[in-house]
Amino acid sequence: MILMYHKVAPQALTTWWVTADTFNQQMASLQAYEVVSLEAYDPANPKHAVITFDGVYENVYQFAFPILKKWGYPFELFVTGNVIGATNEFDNPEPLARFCTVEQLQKMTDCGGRLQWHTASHRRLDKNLNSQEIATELDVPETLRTQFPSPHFDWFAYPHGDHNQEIVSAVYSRFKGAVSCIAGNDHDKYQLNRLTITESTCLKSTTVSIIIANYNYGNYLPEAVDSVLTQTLPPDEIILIDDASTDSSPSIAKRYADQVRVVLNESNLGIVGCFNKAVSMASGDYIAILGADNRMRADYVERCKSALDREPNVAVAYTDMTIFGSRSSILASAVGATEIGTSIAERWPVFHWKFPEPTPEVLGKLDKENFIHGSSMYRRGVFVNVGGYMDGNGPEDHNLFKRMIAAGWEVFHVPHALIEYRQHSTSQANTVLNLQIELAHLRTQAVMINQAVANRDQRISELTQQLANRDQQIVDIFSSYSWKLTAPLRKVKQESVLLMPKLKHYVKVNIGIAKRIYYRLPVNWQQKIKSLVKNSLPSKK
Amino acid sequence: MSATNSVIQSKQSLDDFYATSDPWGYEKNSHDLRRKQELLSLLPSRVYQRTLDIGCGNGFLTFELPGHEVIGIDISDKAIHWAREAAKKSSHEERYKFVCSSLFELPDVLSGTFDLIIVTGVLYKQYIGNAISAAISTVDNFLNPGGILISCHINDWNPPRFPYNLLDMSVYPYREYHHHLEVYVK
Repeated sequence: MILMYHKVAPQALTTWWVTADTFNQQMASLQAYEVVSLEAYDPANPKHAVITFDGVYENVYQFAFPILKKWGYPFELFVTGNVIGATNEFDNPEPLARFCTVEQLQKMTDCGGRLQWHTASHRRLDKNLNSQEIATELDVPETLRTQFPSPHFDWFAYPHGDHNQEIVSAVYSRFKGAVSCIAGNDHDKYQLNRLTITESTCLKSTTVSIIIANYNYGNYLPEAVDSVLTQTLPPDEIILIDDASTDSSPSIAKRYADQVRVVLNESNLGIVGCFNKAVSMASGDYIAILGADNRMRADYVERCKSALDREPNVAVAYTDMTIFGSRSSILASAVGATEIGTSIAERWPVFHWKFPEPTPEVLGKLDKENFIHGSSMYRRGVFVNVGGYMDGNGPEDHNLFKRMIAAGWEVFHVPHALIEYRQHSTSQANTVLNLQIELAHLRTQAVMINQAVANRDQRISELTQQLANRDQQIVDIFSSYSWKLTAPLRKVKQESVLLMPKLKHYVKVNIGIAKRIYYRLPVNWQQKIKSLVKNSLPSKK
Repeated sequence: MSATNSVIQSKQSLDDFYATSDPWGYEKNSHDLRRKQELLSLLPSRVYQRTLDIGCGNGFLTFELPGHEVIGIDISDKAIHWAREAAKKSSHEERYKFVCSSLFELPDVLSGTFDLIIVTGVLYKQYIGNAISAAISTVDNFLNPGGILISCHINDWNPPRFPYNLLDMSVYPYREYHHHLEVYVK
């Protein structure tokens, strides 16, 4: 497949923009493919991918190029000749953006980029052009050809994708191939199709689940969880499983309930039981388990996932480690780790522990010398096939990986210290950092509680004020003239229940007198009596 | 993933902010004096040739950083103006250089690499949007292997971590927030 990008920037302003972070995720997904140049591209090979940019916009140089360099991919830059170093004011209603200068293009060609041609002015190459106009658009200026000789400018991209027969012929005589963005195909080298990549394009093929396994490491748990939450490539799933700890771990774990899936075992299952349970709950293609007293480096997921994506015969990717903690020197000298610095705050040295490549000699010694640590990333499918973690035959991780190798799978060494392995004191569980983190948490809680108390105090005073206002209203009513004046009405209403039969009798007996009195009463009295009488009569249905 | 509606603080508002030489009152308030002290105390003691201070503001921290050559960058040219004024008054004026540039324009403005890089208060979504990965890679291109990177950001605003080995980390109160200070070695 050939990917087509235009602008890469901090925000996706229109459909032609992709944010840099999304671009990075898309580039990470390409680790499962073989990213090649157009020259090497085979349309029949489903694993081949080509990265192309049309423009070329300055934001590609600023935001995409550092990421492309990191991944080491080749990429194609389709240059529109007239706009080199200019802006896109002509491109209504697209937001304003600058195009790359020649110097910026040069820097990109020094690191995997190839320049290709996208016409002089990006006008539509339709039937109305004469041969002179076509030549103006398709001929690459000599200055550019000199500065960027072949294989630069061997390929062409049709503006707006227009590729009628006449244009294709004109392109055929000048270039080795051409790409479109609409109505192309996969077999004509001069009309290859491209995929328009947008902010919502997801090229992902594999998913990662990280399990943080805790037993009574409440003191270190926040550091472990934070290290997983700040990965450069976020895992698709994070499970924090606590094996019925007796310290404050469960309440600490619950703090992260809105960011990770928290599982609190009701009874202690032991390492094998707990790990198997966690993996059975996970849905990712790749699994890694982090002990709650350790930490991951920020690029652990990015690099280990990349290794498994690239190597389909590999079941486990293992890494180097740093050793830290109050007892770091002891392990470091036992394994020959090299010191890389010191923690000034904690007063312990930090070491780099390198692991060997999986040569046949090293693999032969796997039984006695395990080099595949428990926090390696492995394929969940293979885990299931070999029976998961098992009790009895040595450390559970060592045992698992041996079975994977016995089943015919390979292992891969990622040569970076991506796991931070804590060697802590058994008697002193507190470090400067974990105390600071707990203090920060308590301080934040205190601020929230104080704010809630202040809000409640405010609400109470508002309600108190409302009550006082209402009390005052009631007093005002009772002491008002109109209340006193209408006292007889309230008496009538009260007594009307008793009055009604008497009134009826009276009316019956004295209907004439009653009428004369009635018509001498004030109107509102008449109305009152009228409604009283009406309400007491049986209703007509 | 989509960031079309997030507000990115403008250069203009930063320039307005730096209309006076010390708008935060850095020189006098205990929070900023503390953050300077925390960073300097965790800075590994080595000999540094070239130091880069990203987000230097008016040079509050820059003048106390080690290095034979110290370069401070900030997106606000008013802040850079004040930093240059302060440099003239310092005793080692030739050590310091201040450049007005955003992080992403830096590859066109500066050449070479550094063995100490400080990044303070820059890597937030409200400043750089969804371009954290590009920022990390851009900084990475300026740092020597074995070089030191120190990142100091407000914890509550979810700053990123760098893909290097951690030597030191510190969390301390800063105004109504907490600061997260990390010392890495590449």
